[in-house]
Amino acid sequence: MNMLLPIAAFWPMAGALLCVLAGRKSDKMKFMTADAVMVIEFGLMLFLLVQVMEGNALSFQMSAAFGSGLHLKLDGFRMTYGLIAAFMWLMTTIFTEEYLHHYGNKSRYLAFTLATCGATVGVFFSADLLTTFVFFEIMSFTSYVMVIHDQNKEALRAGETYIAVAVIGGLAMLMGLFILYRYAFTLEMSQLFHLLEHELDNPMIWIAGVLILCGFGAKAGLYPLHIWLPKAHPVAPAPASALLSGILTKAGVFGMIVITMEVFREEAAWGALLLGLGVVTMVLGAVLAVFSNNLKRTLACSSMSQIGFITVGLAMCVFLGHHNALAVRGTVLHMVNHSLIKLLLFMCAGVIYMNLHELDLNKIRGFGRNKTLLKVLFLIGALSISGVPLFSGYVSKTLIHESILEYIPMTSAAGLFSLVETIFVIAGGLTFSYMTKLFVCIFVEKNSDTALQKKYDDKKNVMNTVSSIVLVVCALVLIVLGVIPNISADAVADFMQSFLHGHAPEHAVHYFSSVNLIGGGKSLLIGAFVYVFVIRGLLMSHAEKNSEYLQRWPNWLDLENLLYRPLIQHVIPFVMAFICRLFSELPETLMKLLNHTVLKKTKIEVRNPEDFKPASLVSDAQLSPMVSGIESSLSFSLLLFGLGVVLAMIYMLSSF
Amino acid sequence: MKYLMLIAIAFPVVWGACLPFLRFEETDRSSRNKYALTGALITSALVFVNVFNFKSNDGFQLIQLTNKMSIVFDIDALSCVFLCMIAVLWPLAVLYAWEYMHHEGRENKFFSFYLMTYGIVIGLACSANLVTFYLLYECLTFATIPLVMHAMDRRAIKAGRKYFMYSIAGAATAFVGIMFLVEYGTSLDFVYGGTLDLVKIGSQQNLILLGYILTFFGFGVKAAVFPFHGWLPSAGVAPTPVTALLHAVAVVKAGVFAIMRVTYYSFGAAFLAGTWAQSIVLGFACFTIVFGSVCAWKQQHLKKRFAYSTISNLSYILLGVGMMCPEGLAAGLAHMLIHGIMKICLFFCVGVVMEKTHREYVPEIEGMGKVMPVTFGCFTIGALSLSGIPLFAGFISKAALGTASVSSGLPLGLVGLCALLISAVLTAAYTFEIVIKAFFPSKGFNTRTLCEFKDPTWQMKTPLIVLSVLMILIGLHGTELMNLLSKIAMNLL
Amino acid sequence: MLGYFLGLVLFPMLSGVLCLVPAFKDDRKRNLFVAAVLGLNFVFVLLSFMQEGAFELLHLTDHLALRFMFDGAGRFFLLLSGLMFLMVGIYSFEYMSHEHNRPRFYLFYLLTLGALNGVCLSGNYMTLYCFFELMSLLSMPLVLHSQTNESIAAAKKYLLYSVFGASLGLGGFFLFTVYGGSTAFVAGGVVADALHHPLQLSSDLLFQRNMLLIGAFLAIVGFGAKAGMMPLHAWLPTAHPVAPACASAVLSGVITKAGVLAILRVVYFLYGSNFLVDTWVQYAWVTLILLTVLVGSTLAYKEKILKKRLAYSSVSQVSYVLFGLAGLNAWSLTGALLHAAAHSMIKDVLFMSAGSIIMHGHTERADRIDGMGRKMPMTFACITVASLGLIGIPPLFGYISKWYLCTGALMTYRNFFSWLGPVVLLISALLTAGYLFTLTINGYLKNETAESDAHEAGALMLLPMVILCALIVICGLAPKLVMQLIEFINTIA
Repeated sequence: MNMLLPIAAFWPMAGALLCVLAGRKSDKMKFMTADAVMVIEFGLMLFLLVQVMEGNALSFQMSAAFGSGLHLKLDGFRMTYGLIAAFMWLMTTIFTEEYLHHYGNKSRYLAFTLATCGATVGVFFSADLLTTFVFFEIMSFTSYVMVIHDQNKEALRAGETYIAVAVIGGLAMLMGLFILYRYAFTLEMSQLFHLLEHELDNPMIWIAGVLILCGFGAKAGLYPLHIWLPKAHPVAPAPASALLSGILTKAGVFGMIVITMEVFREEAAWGALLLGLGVVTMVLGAVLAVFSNNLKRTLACSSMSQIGFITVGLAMCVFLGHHNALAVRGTVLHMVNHSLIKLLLFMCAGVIYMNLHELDLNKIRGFGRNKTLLKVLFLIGALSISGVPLFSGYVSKTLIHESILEYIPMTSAAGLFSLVETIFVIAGGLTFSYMTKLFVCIFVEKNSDTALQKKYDDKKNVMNTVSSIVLVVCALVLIVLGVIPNISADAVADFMQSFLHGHAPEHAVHYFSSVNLIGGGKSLLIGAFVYVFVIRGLLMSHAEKNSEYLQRWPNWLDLENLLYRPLIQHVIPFVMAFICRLFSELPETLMKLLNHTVLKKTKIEVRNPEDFKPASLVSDAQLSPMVSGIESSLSFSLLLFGLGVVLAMIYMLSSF
Repeated sequence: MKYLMLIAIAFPVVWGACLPFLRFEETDRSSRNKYALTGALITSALVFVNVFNFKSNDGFQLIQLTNKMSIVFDIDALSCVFLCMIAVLWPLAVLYAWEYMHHEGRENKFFSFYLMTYGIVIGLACSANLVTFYLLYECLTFATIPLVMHAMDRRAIKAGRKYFMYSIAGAATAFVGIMFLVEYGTSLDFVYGGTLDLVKIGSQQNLILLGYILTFFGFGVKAAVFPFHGWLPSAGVAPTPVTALLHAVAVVKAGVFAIMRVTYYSFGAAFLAGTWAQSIVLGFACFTIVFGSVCAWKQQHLKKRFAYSTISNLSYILLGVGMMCPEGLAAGLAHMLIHGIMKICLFFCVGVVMEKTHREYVPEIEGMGKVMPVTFGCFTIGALSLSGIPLFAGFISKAALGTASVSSGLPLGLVGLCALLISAVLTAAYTFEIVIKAFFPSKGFNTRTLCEFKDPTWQMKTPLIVLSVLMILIGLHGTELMNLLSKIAMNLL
Repeated sequence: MLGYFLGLVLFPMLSGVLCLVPAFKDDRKRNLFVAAVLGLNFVFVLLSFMQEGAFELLHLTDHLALRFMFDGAGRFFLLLSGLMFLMVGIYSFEYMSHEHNRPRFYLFYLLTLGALNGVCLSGNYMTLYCFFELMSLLSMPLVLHSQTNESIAAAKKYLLYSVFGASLGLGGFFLFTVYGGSTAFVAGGVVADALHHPLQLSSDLLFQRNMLLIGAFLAIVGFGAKAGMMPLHAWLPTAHPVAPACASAVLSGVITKAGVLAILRVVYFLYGSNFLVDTWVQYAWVTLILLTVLVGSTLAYKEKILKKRLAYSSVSQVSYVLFGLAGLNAWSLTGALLHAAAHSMIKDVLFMSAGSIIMHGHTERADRIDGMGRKMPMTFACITVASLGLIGIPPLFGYISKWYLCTGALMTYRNFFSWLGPVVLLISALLTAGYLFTLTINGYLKNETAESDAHEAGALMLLPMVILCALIVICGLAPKLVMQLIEFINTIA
């Protein structure tokens, strides 16, 4: 029962309160407290890392909290991601000070960022799915405030989509958890597998699995629920986007790994589902990135595509079963790489936006021509993500690529998997193409408007020293992982693979062997080809001197506006409201019907004076017509009397 | 002992008859009123003396008409219930009439007939056989007609004429039923369990049942059963003491009392239970319950509304009686008593409103709750009791009726239960509509228009308050009353 | 034991009447008096926790007795209503300063509290029915307080629906007294075990079982009217918007829970859960509930007027609680009672903040509160906490009850209800997010459209809202506190 775990999760939230209280006086105090909180958190993480390295399993259980219990646990994967989360939050918080310099309500942003950090650490440390869900929901709502920081129309609209996807995903996941609990009577991650082993033929378990996948996939940005990612990033502040695509998507992937590894460990059907979604996300993300002319939107779509890569890796872990060492290590490493790369790239984008307040490629073109430090940093990030050898991206991409190749001979559907392998390579190529598009546009080409170009060139200091130190540190970590993969990358992979029930590889992986290098080279070649022909040719208009990036992607072709928004905001409410109004008005209309027919109030008769004249004045002639109607005339009663007597007589006669 | 009963019957008639001859001038109101009240009080005292030391079947034969038919008076348990009700309510009505008749005029004629009716009703209650009962039943009609036509204007005459025709027609049909009893019954006396000679009936059972149905509808006219209820709302033109006492308590209850006598003491409940005749009785009773409440909700005229409410509540009693089982009779008796109290109190309140403010319609009494608190306070208690809210008298009889109708096990019993519940809701609707309008006028209403109306004098207030307190007392502690009634219904007393 | 009864039921009622005393004409003194009474009532509730057992106050008749009992269920709802009445009472002092005839409001406010405590303490079916009716009658003036024509019509509709619901309950009472036996509440139900398995029953036992089932369904639908369940829910969306905010806070937060308690008593203490399991009654009831949940949240989603939207939301949320009751097992019952507590707190906060928006923000409509969050930060903070709680976002109180409700349903039902229930609940939670979260977003994040002179509510109004929000968070973090209160569940389900 190690108390440090809950402290790690709840300390940033407490820090958020501290930050708001301390920040009353001056902005400086706000950032000082925020940095202090994050430094303490990072120190705590390092201390925990040492504990985990020594091999003692830390866990914390309090069944009273939240009613459904709070159960945290630490192992390799969780520790690493806790550390990465702390590291990224520390870096972005330090960077935010300069970024938010001329922004409004800083304390709100800082408070909610720290709260999100606490919630994310909570998600990563959680040991049962209910605790995951609890922290997941808190993370969704606190990160919502980060997304809509600018509070302009687009931010609110993107926020609306973000919160809708988060709530719908959350509720779907909750439904899945209910069904799982119904069959397993516990949601402890460790016990789930052997409890549900023989239940897997029951369709309800699969429905639950899909629902939970939908919940976690929504946050990760998987295909059907990815709509919020390309919308949220351009409007969110750069550090927020770094966290959103770096860490929050990984929280979604963490959930996907749990449901895959703890319930459907060797189910081929589940693997196929993941593979399908992964491939589609990978390709769609890459294509959207190629077509996008907004810096941050490209990076967002690239995140979506990298999540596709990770999902493919995860699918391969399921397919490969016992010998999934390569796939496991590939997936894990690619997650780590992607987090760090996106941190670096988004911070660079942040620097650019900080200075120009512009994200459109045509406008920020040629900004970085003489900014050497920024150029080098961006280059490192771009090269790592494109999978260029000697950089960290290459390591994890090769692992996943090799795992696909390894699986092809083992499976009956070899043709399908070779197709997957080719798509994998093409997607890698596309990544390289859009990264080069960004790099060339900002740091190589000249801006079509020479005056603007001149202004860019003589703008010397782009960011203060603190931010530059932060960026350099991130770049260094990437290089360490990339240059000496066997030592650094393998160590990290060994540390994290137990979470995915991975087994140690039979033989050490030769990253720079000829086969891998050829694989990497092939994708770079495709990338260059796509850049030259598609981007240069198709997406740019070359009028005599200046060329211009065109927006070829038709903006009506947007899944959200085409399908989701009309469906959820207009069609479903209209149909349900019609039915419900029908039901709820039923007793009402019945009452109205009754009131107008049977229970209708009679009119108030006007008192006619004629009735009140005393009888003595009324002559007998007036009396007789007055009593109209047969039933009240005297003769009628005599008739009745007679009838009675006649009946009696008949009876009397009959009895004799 | 025998003569005491005769005195109790004859005294009010004589006392009322000689009232006009004492030539009280129109102006010398208080002495005549005192005279009338003393008459009523003495009669009530006589009645209570009779009731408390009555020994069954020491009847007093007045005249021997034929070998089978004779005029015999004798008090038994059932008549005690009826007598107690009348003895309590009649003096209160006379006291109430003091101030009310002030602006109606012709008070000598009114009070004389009022007292004479009192005697006739006592006679009706004490009659030991069907012939005496029928005789007094007819006299009751004749004695009440001048009361209904008191105002002697066109409307009153029309109503009186209508009332007269309905009653005579009803009595005629009832007479036919009596013929069946003469032929097939061992005797015309009222004997618990009926006096039918089953041997003689043998196969003609349906004929006898037809006879019973004729009697039911004959006496049903006075008990305002559905097709023959027309006279009761139009009798509302009579002054309030008449409508309150006669058309809510004495006359209509005489009809119900007649049906009880005929069902349990002439034809016999055992003979009628489970037959198609019982279904007809229950069917009409259930329909009238709902019909009465619906018409009461529709009716905007205050008196007509409570007249229709009486029609519905009378059928509550008939529903209980129609169950043909002791619990049913006990429930019917309980509702007869409690409804009498409730309805007379409500009619008195309405009478006060009409007399003091000359307003007769529901929308016109807006905001009067503050100006006439005592009247509308008693009205609210009456409303609560009538719609069967617990802790008030109405709930006791409604619970008894509900349990009786369910425990009979008949499908029509359940229909009766539904009718009871629907009618309870409608009763709550049409009574609380008045309470809400009186106590919670709408926003724009300025109360200055009502400033000249105020609560009536003590003569009118005392009956209201006495009746309201009675209702709450019975509501809070009705155990002895219900035990007594169920003993009477099982003929153990 | 009698002392506690007097303290809990009669004391608020008498002090309510005292409010009309001219000495309390001046607001400050009366507010202090009312606050003292509410505080004392809360202390009495806490003191009554040690009490156990039952006693009979008085006998209306042999079968009908006013019986009171102190047990777990009663205590839970007593605490809930005591706390809510105290909080809303403190809130109402400032809110009512703008309304007219305040003494009358506090008269009926305290009378309703007395009647509500009576419902919580009632020990048998008759007492429950009696105080249920009284509560409907006494809370009606709260609805028509503003006395506009619209509010008077709404009050009449409220009264009609409540009286009709209560009379259905009375129908159930009659059926139970005849076929079920004694109506005293006993944990675990009174119905004989022989009737539990319909297969090997003789014909008349089968008839008895069917009658009991019909009685149970009548009682459920009848008392469901007060809880806003489907067939009789139409009064809630009309009554709440017209009532003053503190009245509708009490009406929807606490008085709907009286309907829930009545159904709990009837189902678990009279019929017994294992008598009703797997019967057509349970399935018809669950269908009605799911229909109400969907209808409530959909119409709330489409509604523009703030208080009407909250009223529709009450309709759907109270049916969540009923969904737990319909599960007929300990697990979903825990969920039901937790949600009852959560909904009371949350709905009171929402209505109180709606009241402060109407009073200080001068707007009734939900789509005209753009940018008000900056001017009324505390009110909108409370709205956010309450909305997150109601949607069921984990750290707050609404989450754990949804957990128990849905897992309970999945575990008990064998047919399609097992998954349909949770799906409907979650869709409704989505709609709840739709109509509640937009309030926060519009309030805080949208910038002002019209120039409104909105200003923050007074301290006395904010205090109860902040206390309740704190309670929501505390109970959300550590629901064990509330769980100890509902330990009695294992004895009855």
